[in-house]
Amino acid sequence: MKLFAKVRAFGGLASNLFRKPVTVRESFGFVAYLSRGLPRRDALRCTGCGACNERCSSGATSVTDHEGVRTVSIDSLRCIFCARCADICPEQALDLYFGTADREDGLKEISSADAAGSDPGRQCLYDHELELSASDRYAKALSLAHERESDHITVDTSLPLQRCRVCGAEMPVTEKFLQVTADRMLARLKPETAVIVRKDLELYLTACISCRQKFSVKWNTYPRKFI
Amino acid sequence: MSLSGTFLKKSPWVYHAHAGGCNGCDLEIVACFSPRYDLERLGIKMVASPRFADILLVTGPVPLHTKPFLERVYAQTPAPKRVVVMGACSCSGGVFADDENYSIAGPVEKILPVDVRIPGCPPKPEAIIDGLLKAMRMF
Repeated sequence: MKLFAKVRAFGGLASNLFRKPVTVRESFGFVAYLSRGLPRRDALRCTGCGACNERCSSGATSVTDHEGVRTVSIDSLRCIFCARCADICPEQALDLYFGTADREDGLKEISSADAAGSDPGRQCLYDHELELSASDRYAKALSLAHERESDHITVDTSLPLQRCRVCGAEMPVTEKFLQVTADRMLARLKPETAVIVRKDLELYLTACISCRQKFSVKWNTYPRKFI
Repeated sequence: MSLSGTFLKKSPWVYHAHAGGCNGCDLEIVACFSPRYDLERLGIKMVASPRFADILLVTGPVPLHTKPFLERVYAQTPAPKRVVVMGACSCSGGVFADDENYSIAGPVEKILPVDVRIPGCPPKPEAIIDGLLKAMRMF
């Protein structure tokens, strides 16, 4: 072996002695930043449209209509954390976050914006870069495995269903969804036109499908310039 | 705390019971023993027989023909023992959770008493380590 190769081999050996170990620390503070987190629903934004239920690939979401109330829920045990529901949600009511429902301290939560730090584009961060406290790391580590029944985070939202104003039957949509939909449709019109159309649109949307057909003749005579 | 609990807190031996999973979870267990995560530095050791084991690490949705074997594995594990289920399939049935499914004996909860659940499809190695540490603290 040449002298150069010997020196080089010794240099590699010496640098190994002073290098940081490959094995990560036991306090798993970096965990949450390598994963997406757990699903969370903003109950104020959710309209109960059920788009998350259509999109969910693992069947973790469910939409049930019972006694005039629609309940939308996510079972975290069936969730595979793919974030498809968060992508499709038209109200941005769903997102994935890092945190846990702690019994004593309420909902501990570290948003993804905090996790990314100064550069939100970065996904992969380590705990020494973040300078997190030990309790924060523990909070995030808790969210990984469930050991109590209360750890099974099932996110529920309950919203009242719309009743048909003509026949009184339950419609398969929520009141909030119809309001949001009407507002969104009218936002495209001119303000003076929207005032005139709003009343008829609400009459139309608050009737069930079979009742709509009864006054569809009148609907067809609507002035063409508004449509 | 019993004398055995004192030692099991330090070094539990884990038996991996494969109950019809897709091998995704099993590969993540392998990753747990890689130099980066290195479970053995925490005293956790994989064993080849349930008769040596303290913790059962169950993966998969438990098909009907695997159910008696899983029950036997649980019976062969000496007490005190803990069951850790891993992955969406064994936590809740996952994509197999269906009343009309003719070949699945249901999630592990229906068959064994479960102590720690690790959700995910598959869970990250950090989640597996976290679940095993939680099971360790239970002894």
